[in-house]
Amino acid sequence: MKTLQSINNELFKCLIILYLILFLFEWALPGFVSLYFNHSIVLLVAIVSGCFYVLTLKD
Amino acid sequence: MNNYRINSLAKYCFWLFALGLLIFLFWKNYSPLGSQHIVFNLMPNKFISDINPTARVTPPSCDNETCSQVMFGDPLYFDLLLARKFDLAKIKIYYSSDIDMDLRLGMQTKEGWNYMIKTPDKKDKNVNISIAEFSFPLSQALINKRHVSFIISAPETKAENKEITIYKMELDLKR
Repeated sequence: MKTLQSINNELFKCLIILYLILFLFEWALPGFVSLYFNHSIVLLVAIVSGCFYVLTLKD
Repeated sequence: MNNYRINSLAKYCFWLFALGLLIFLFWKNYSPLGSQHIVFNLMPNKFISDINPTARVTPPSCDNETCSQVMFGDPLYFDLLLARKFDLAKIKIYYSSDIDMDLRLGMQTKEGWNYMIKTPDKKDKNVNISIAEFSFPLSQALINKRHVSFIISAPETKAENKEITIYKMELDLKR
């Protein structure tokens, strides 16, 4: 369980930073990301990962 | 494999994925190679805007897989979204008309309100459908927020009260 939690932490960090980068690119250059990739998926997975982190806090 | 190794392996995989995604996006947006082929069958398309204004063209009507719009006013406009830098645009318009009408296409140039209006470089006829082919140097286009504006003109629609049915457009963008 500890391993899974730490993997999830890494995933969460990576997704949040990736989402911020994609968001900034899309804001600066409209269409740069959205024409080829739906970056809401990154946010969605980050939310799921965040929920998993919160649920496993007590362990 | 101990926990630390699994953890660091997963970490590297995630960052590698993130880096791969960014490289993919940069490649798609700024690749020095390649071309893009866009088929606009009059249905919503992320690279081509709707043909407008609606006061001069009917809404798209679809029969099986073929859609059409009837142009009864002159001129019409549409925008092309350039996903990245291209040098040449080859545009094919599939249309039909009762009489042989002069269809022209223009691209908005850097001078602003000017359009580089051209007659077809090549014209083919496939049963009832005519195919007019045009080419434009995109280096002379006015690019506004990655969009280039085009004009479709058929003066006879206004002068002689005729109609043109547009079926499809194909765009080949090349470097």
